[in-house]
Amino acid sequence: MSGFDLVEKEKLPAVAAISCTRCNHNIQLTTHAQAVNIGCSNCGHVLQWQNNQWAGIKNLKQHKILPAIPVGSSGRIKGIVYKVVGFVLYQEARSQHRWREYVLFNPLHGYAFLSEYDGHWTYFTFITDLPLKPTRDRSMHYQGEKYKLFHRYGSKVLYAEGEFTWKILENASHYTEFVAPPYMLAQETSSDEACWMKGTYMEPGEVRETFGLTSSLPERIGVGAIEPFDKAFSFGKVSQLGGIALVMLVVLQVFFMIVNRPQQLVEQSFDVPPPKEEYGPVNLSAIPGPSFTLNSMTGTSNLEFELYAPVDNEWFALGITLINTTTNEAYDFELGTEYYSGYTGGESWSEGSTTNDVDLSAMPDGTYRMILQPYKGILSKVNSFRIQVRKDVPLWSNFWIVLLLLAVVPGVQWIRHHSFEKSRWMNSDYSPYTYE
Amino acid sequence: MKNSLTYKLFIGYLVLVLSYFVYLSATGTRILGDDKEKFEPNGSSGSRSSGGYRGSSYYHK
Repeated sequence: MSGFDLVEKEKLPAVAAISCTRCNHNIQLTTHAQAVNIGCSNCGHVLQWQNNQWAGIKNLKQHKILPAIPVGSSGRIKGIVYKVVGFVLYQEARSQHRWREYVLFNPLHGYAFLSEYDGHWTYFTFITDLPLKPTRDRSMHYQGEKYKLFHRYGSKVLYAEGEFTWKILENASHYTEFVAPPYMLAQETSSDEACWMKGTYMEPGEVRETFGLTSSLPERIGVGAIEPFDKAFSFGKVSQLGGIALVMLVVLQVFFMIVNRPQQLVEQSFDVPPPKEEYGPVNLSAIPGPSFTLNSMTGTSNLEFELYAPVDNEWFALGITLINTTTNEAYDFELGTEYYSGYTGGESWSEGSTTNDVDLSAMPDGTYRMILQPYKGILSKVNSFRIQVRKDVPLWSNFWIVLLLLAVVPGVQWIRHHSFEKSRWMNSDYSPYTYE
Repeated sequence: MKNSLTYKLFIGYLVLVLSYFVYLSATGTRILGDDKEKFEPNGSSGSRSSGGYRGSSYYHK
């Protein structure tokens, strides 16, 4: 077999065959002389190469399970054609958590692993550019990504089938895992070796397609250690786009504040006319107000009316009628002030104000005539008031509402992302979140 | 493809909202509206005479 066969024709090495020393089951070897342990899929016996022959060392049949990807299957991951040469069922040394690993082999690229825990799949390859000394750090940087410590644990083998280049029953490994979804860095240390592997999350559908599986894969439970959050609509990208839109909103608001500077149209004081009748309800005469002209580039603009009245424990209101002398359209609205103060229960208090304002939205251009109708209480001492009219006043309520509209989608994604991350870290002893 | 469409829709939404803001700012329109009441000449207000006020019902402590 040549490299051309391997790369271009996707051919893998021919297999050798041995018989299980316990049940005589025919076992096929792809890695040939590299294998030091073999697990028989028929009887669960583990064989070890020693004294130039295969010898049985332990039977693991009691934990036998069927691999989701049969040993001997082939598939292409990230452009590399792998053959599944081994399958191991692991259990954490100090807990009941179990996971499954598939040993992948390619004659040119060597070994890789597919790990499955709670239906979440990770594709591991060896990396050689990290120090082999056991790490005690809580985080690390690798290739521009910050990885956070997720888990430390020991392992033991419950069941194995296929061929292995290491003594699976002798070397209890310890793992330290750092995550930066969808990637993981895992340091594996045992009594005689240490290595680093980089893991990449694989969707179950991708695994099924890679190995041409027809049976169903283990159902996903919870959030995987490196399962990415909503790949179709990532929180990072949404935040970035939302941030750009927010900056544009601020720029637009500043632009319109510069272009549409507020302009005072009216500032005038008036005397409150005496009541029409000496007794009974206060009935005041309407006052002809000033006129002003509204002229804008877009045909409409906003108006702000501000009323001041020297109220003191009383109220004063103004009914304002605006008549557009160009179109004869009339607009009515009310504007009032009230101010109360006192001393109750040993404390002085006050509420209200002597001024109040109201905004009129999108008023058409034209010349306006104002008619003012004052109202006040029977005992009111208010005898004057002042009215101011400004145009093109910045409408901050618009700014805040549009800001809210821009923030809705990133906000929802943030809540989803936060909940997702909290679920992810629920499985870790090093979670930055608190759980009730 | 699906990813791209989702982001395009989101960008479209952002552009729409910002365009609406430009319209509001250019025309002096307030999203929350205001309390003015408009009367067309010879319109539905009918018997109302211009310049009159329909009565105070506003400030009463």
